[in-house]
Amino acid sequence: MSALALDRVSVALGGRPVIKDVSLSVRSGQWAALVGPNGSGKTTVLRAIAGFVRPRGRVLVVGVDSARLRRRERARLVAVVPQLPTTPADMTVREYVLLGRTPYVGYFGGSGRADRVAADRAIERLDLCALAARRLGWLSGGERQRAVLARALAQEARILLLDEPTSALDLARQQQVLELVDELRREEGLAVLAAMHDLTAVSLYAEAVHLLGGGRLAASGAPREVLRAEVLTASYGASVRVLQDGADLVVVAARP
Amino acid sequence: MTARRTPTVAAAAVAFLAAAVVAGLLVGPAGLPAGDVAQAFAAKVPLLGVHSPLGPTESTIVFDLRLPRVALGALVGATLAVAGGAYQGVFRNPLADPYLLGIAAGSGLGATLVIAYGPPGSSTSMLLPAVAFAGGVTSVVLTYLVGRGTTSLILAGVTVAAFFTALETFVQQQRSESIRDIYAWLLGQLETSGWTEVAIIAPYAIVALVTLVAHRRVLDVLRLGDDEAAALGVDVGRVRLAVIVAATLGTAAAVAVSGLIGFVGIIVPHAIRMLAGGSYRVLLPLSVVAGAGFLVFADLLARTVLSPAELPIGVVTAFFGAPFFAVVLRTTRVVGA
Repeated sequence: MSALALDRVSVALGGRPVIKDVSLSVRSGQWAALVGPNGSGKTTVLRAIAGFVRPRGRVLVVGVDSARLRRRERARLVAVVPQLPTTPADMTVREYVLLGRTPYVGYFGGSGRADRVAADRAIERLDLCALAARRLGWLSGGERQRAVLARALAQEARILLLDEPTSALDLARQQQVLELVDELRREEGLAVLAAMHDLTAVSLYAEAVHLLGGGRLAASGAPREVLRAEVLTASYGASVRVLQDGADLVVVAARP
Repeated sequence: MTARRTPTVAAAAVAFLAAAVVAGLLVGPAGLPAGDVAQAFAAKVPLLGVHSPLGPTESTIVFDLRLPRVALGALVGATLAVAGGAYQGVFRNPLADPYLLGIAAGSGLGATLVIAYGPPGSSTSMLLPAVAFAGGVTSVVLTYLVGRGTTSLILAGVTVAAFFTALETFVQQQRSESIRDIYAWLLGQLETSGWTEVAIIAPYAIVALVTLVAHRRVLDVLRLGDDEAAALGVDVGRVRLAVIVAATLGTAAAVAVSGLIGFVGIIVPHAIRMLAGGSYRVLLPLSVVAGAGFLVFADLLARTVLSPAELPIGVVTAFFGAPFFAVVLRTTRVVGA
């Protein structure tokens, strides 16, 4: 059974169709990448899965129709790392990670022992122990991104949605974050669906690639099948070369 | 830093409230000795066997003039401060105050109508707080209906307030002979007639305080933004509505008995934010305590500075609050709402 399955999902915003008939699935422990030019609907697909917009078609989360799930139930299954997470400057890392336990805490309740244990585990898992009492405003970009991942991990969800998780980071931090996500999905069996711009990173980390163009799924398959020069050129409208580097692919822009 | 400072700030807030209450009970034109007042309070405790040294008049001054006035100040101050803090959280707007959604204009119009057109003596009757309360609640309901489902609830509040203020000004121009009474009400006062005002506001204030403080953790989640809070399973619309309802009931009741007292709902939560950090789990409970202390203290100044005349308390909260706030603003690192 897929951890996540989209069955002919469409979303219209303000009467304008943004994504149309998108079907895809992600297994537990699998990293699937969502690629496509700006405005192709990547973020909208993620928002439909997270329940921020109500789609037509069905979103199945661990086999259950997402529309039937209550908000809190969905939040226990799906964790979201947005493109630009809000990280209040005066909040400590530990307070922030504990907010990931919100779907398990009663409306007027406080966090209990199980919540503190889960938060501590996430903090340890992302190597943030030394920074746990530090305020978010004092962290570097890479440390802050780790705190965001720790909050998502504390949520103990089965599905992790990432929207451009590395767009604000330098090369080394990008690598660090992608490696961490890769470890988490292997060891925790998380199903990862990530909207990504860096197609070389996609070929390095993703097992499945879903290419969106104009709101429709233009191609789906293994990186080797989707990341081909003619496919990308047609979809992005850019002149692209795909180079072979050992077993990996390198996608570069070429002069038209 | 937050965690270490919180107990200190909490202790200071409690001490501030205690000092304000004691001063409020001891200071007044009757010049009662502090020891006698303390003894009179001890005499109220059964089984202690203490006898009050105060005569009937003095006893009335302490228990039916000063004590209800202190209690009213504490309730109004706590309500305005916690309503302001909760609004700043729920709208993620550091300038939000308890009057954000039009309460001031609605209550103001209600009070103006009663003073201008009511039967003689109605400005001191129970009609005024009732109509002021109804006006405040009406304006917030209108604001919510106009702005619901859009992101511009605050703009809807501005719109409703502008309309009600226009009506209010029109009535004032029509009845310029009552303008003095209307302004006296608008500028705020904590005058009490025994325990009546306290009894009017207490149920609303207590419901508002309990509800808003109970939302402290959810408001921390809302600091992450609507989408991220929703992704964590929070029904943002419901939280916003619950906070609006609670803050409206409390604020409208406060305005009904004490007029428009500005600045408390902004200055108190922000001072705490700067001293103890922005977590609502700390901010809201401490706003209750510090808001109560701040208004009791402001009222003490209002009735002593120009004694025997009284200053409108709204003038005092701004006159003494603004410089204090300026000092806090200059000496601490600014933390957003």
